[in-house]
Amino acid sequence: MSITNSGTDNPFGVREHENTSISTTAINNISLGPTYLTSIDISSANADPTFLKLYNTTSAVTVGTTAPDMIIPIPASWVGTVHVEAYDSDGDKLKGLYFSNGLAYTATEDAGTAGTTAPGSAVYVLIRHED
Amino acid sequence: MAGTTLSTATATGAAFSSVGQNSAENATYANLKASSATLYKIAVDNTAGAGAVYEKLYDSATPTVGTDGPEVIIPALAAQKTVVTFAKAGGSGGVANFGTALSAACVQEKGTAGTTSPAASVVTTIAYT
Repeated sequence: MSITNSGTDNPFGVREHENTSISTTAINNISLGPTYLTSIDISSANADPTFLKLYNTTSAVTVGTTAPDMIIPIPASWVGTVHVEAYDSDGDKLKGLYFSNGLAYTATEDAGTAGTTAPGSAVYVLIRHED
Repeated sequence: MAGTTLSTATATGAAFSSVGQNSAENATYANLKASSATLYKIAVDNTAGAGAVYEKLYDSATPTVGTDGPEVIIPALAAQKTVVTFAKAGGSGGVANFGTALSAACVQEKGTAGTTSPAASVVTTIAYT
């Protein structure tokens, strides 16, 4: 697993978090506080479906127990991008989906909250979020 | 509990062939398709709501909401609408995670557990084949 975070001092507030092989080890609070999720690039070499689980928390996630706020399904051997948009009640587009505490994630081969089965092969993600 | 029926329409010129829309999504599941399905896009309109809701999709024609693990969870915050698009590289499809069926429900709880229906009307639109 190789994790790279973009700098926090860029003037646009746009951040990228790259993980070359996500696993059941929770990656906690990648945003270091509140953030807006905008998109996720995914490349899965796994022969089985994988579930990317996102958490709105700054606390350490207990994989299999902590309830995820969002689950993104990743089919076997899937490559693509998941675009996330949010709008207010006036129809105005927001920066993205707001994680008011912080953004953490993990991945397993299990749907729902429960399960700690690690992906059988590497699953790459590039998570884009904004301050 | 029997599922509710969504209104459906055919989207001309789009990669997907069906759009299910439910103007009052709740904890009673709706079965959109009783066979394998591919999900392309989902919009969860909670602009009438004062609290967050969670749209959950299941690979089952008869899920037990609150017990079965959802394949997909999409949150919509209070007074907001969330739109998520699954764009497979090459423009050839969405996510084909639903090998058995595609059903949907909406509750106030994240994760697997919870059966509390939204307090206000939630409008959900799902594009799938």
